[in-house]
Amino acid sequence: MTLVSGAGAAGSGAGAADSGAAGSGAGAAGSGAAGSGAAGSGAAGSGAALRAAGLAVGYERHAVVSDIDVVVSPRSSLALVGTNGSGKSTLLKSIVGLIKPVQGVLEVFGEPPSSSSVRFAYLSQAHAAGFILPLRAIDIVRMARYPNLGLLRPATSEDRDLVMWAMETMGVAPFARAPLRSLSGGQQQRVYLAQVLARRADLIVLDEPTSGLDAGGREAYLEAFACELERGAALVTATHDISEAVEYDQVMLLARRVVALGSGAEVLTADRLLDTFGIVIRDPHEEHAGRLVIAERAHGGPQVVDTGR
Amino acid sequence: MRLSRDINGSHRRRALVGLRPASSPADGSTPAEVARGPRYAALRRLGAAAFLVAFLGLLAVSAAACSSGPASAGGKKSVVVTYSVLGAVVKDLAGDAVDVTVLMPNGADPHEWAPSAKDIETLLRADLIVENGLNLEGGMVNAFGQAQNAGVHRFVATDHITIRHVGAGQGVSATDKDQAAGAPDPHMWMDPLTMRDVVVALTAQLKSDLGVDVSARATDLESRLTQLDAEIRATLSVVTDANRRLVTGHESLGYFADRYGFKLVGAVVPSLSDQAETSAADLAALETKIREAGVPAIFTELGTSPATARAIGNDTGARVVELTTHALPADGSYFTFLRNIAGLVAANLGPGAASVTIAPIPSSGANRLSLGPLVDPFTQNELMLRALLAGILVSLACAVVGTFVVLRGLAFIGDALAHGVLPGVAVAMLVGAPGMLGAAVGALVMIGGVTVVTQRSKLSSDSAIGLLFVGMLALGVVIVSHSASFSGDLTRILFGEIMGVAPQDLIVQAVATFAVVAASFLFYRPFLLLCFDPEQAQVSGFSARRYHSLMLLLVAMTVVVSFTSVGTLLVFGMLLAPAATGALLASRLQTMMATAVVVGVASTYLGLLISYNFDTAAGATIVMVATLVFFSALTAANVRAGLRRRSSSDSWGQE
Repeated sequence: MTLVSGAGAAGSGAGAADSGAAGSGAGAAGSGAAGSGAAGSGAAGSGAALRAAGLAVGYERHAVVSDIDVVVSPRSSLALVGTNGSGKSTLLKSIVGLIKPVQGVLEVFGEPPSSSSVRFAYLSQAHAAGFILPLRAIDIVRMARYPNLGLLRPATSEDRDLVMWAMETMGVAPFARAPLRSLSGGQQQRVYLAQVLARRADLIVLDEPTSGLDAGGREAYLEAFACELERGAALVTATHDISEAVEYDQVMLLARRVVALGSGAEVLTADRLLDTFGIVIRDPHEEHAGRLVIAERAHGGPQVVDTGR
Repeated sequence: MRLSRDINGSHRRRALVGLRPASSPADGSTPAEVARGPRYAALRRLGAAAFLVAFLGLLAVSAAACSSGPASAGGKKSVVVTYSVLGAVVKDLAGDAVDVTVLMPNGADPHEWAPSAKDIETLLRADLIVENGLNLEGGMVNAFGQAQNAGVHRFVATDHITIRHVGAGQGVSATDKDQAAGAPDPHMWMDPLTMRDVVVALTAQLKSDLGVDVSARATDLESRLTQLDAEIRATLSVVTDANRRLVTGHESLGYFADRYGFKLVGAVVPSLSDQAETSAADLAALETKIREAGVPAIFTELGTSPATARAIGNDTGARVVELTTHALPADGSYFTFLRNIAGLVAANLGPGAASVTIAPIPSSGANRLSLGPLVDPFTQNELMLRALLAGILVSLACAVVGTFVVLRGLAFIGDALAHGVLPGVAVAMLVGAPGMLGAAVGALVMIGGVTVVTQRSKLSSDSAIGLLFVGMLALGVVIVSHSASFSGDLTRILFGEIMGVAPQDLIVQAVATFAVVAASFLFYRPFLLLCFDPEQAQVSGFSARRYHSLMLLLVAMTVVVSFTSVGTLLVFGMLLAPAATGALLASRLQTMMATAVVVGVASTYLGLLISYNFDTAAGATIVMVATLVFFSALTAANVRAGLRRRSSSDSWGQE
C-alpha cells in the first residue's frame, strides 16, 4: 500500500522511483496504460520535471516560503509535509503557474510554469462549487480532456476510454452517471482523482489528495499514482500525513521555511518533525520502540509513523 | 439647515409655527399614494431616496446660495407657482407686481417631479404658493404641508373651477382606480375658460393674502382668454363631428374635449397620471377601439411611452402625433401653447385625416378562427404577439446566461449590472442617443469598475460590487431627477415596456439572443471549468480571467438588450429565477439550461396571459410567475427529499 512498493506491485519499474534521477525508467515508458502518448510532448524529455533554485513563493511579493531548492525528475515523486499555513499550497499553486514566484528560479521541464506547454494536472484542496453544480461524476472526469480538445473538438473514443479507465482505476465507475452532489465526500474525492488520472499529465500536482479517503480509497490512490510515475509523470503532493510521506522519493518538510529535504528516512526524524509540527512524542510503549508519535495541535489525534529505524 | 434658515431669513415675519407637527400621515404616504397601490409608493420611496442623495449633494451648493433666495429682491412679494403652464398665466396676470418663480423646470413632468432641497427652501421662503391641485403635484404634498405650517399662503387652482370628472364609458378600463367614473381630472389648463375662472379667483386672493391689486391686468387677461376660446373654436371648425374623437398619451385632454365637443376614445396609458403601467388587456382594447371608431391620429404627450404609441400606430395605421400638453412653447406664452394644441388637433383630425387609412379589425368576429382563451389573445392582437416573442427571446438569453450566473455565483453582479445601466440610459436619453447604447456603456463601466476596485483595494468583490451598484443607481436617479426632459422614463427603464416592443426591437433582440446563446455554446468548456473551479480552468490552459470577463460581458449583453422589454429591475428576475429552478431540478448542466428555458418561456406566456385577463402590469407579472415557479420547485424538491429520506433507499449508497 505504499507509493513506491505499490509501483512494484503493479509490475515492472519497481525501484525506478527511488533511483529517480534521469529515469533509469525500465523502458516501459508508461505506455502500458491506455496509451495516448502522454510523455511524447518533448518537454518531458528535457531533464528535470521540476526545478526550483533560490525560489521564494508567496502572495503579492510577500514570501511565504523562501530559499527552496529542489529538483524532481520525471518518474519521481516529492511530498511536501507541513501544517496548515506552512506554505505547501502556495508552493503547489506556484508550480502550476497560478501565482507568480516572488523570487528565484522555478522551471517545469525547463520553462516557467505560466508559459509552459507542459501538461499539468492539478488537484486543489477545495472544490467549493462541487455541491451546487448539476454535474454527474463522469462530467467531472471528462473535463480532464478539455485542454486537449480545446473549445470545440469532439471527444474521441480514446478520450472516452481514458475517462472510463480513470474512473475504474479510482473505483468510481459504478457512480459514473450519478449526480456529483449525491456522492459522499470520499467518493467525490475519488472522482476528482480520476479527473487527474484522465488528464495523462506530465507533471501531477496534488493538494491533500487523500483527505476524506477511506483505506480502500487510499490504496487505490497509491496504486494508481505509482502507475502514473511509471508512465513517466512526475508527482508533487502536499500532505500532512507522515505515514504517507514516507512513500515518496523525496520529502520536503515545510514550516514557512524548508526544514529539511531528502528521502523519507533521512528527513522524518524526531527533531525535524518537532521543528515542523511542534510536538513529537516518542512512543512510550516498549513494543513500538523506534516509532515516533506526532501530536499535532491542528489535527487532533497523534499520528504514528515508522521511520524505519 | 432648516433652523438656520428660520433665523437668517430676511423677511421672517411669520412666527415659528413649524413647531406643529407636519400634517402628513405618520407613515409619510399620502392617501392618494395609498390609493395608487404599492408600486406607486415604491416609486415614491425611490424618489425619496433620490431626494436624500440630491439633498446631501446640494447641501454645499444651497448653503452657498442662501443669500440669493427669491425673496431678497427689492421687498416685492414672492409668488411660487408649481408648474410652467400655470406659471405663464400667473406671470401674465401679475406683471411686475410680485416676483413669480416657477418651481418645476419647463418640460418636467409634474406627475413625476419631486422637489430638490433647494426647491423646498424656495417654497418655504414664498409668500404665496400657487398650485394646480388634484394631486397633479403628487411629489410635493409633504413640502406644501411644511410650507403651510411655516405660514406660507396657498392657492389651489382646482379649488376654484368646475372640476371635470371622468365620465362613464370614456374608453377607460373599469379596473383602474384612477379611472373609476367620477375621478377628478387635474388637467384644467387645457381649457381657456376654466383658466379664466382661475384668474378671477387668484386676483382676489392676491389682494386678500398679499395686499397686491392686479385687477386691471386681470380684466385684460380675462378678455384675452375669452378671445382665445373663440379662436380655438374657429380653428377646430374644420373637424367634423364624426372625427371629434381623441386618443391621447394619458388622459389629459378631458377639459379640452368637454369644451369643444370631442369624445375621448382612449389613452395609451389609460390613467389621469402617466405613471400607471400599461397592461396587455388595456392596449388590446385600445387598438380595437381605434379601429372601430376609425380614429386617424394618436396624440402622444410628455410621459407617453413613444414605443407603445408607435406600436399601436403601426398596427392600426393611425398617425402618431406628438402634442405638447405639459410644457410651454419657446415664447413662454399660454396662448401660443393652446393655439398649438388646437392647430395640431385640427390638422390631424380635420381635412388632413382623409389621407390616413385605419386598418380594419382583421377578419373580425364570427368567421375568425378561435383557438380558445389560451391562444386567442396572442393570435388576435399583434401587441400581445410581439410581447410574447420578445419575452421568449429574453427568456432564452436569460436562461442560458442565467445558468452560468447561478453556477458561478454571479447573482450579485448580475443585479448590479441590471441597475448599473441606469445612469448610462439616462445620459443616453439626455443627449438623444439610443438607450441601448447608453446601457451598454453603463454596463461596461460597471464591469470595469468592479474589476478595478477589487484589484486595487483589498475589498472582497462583494463590497466592490455593492459600492458601485449603489453609486451607479444613485447617479442614475440623480441624473433623472435633475433633468427636465425626463418624464415617465424612469418607470420605463425600471419596469420596461414589453407591450411596446416594436418589430425592429425584436430583430435586435433576436440577434443578441443568438449571439449570447452561440457564445455560451462556443465557450461551454471553459465556462464549465470556470464554474467547477477557476484554478482548474487556469491550469487547463483556459485563462480564468479572460473567460470570467467574457461571461460578465454576456451577462451585460443580456441585461442591455432585455431592459427595453422587461426593464432593468425585472431582467434580473428572469436571469435568476428560471436558472435557479433548473439548478434545483436538474442533475446535468444541459438539463438545467433546458429547464431554465422551459420555465422562462412558460412564465412569459403565463404572465402575459394573466396580464391580459386580469389587467396587471405585464413585465412584473411575468417575473412574478417565474419566481413563483422557483418557490414551487423548491417546495416540491424539499418534499421529495423528505419522502426519500423516509423510505431511506438512497440508490447511490454511502461508503
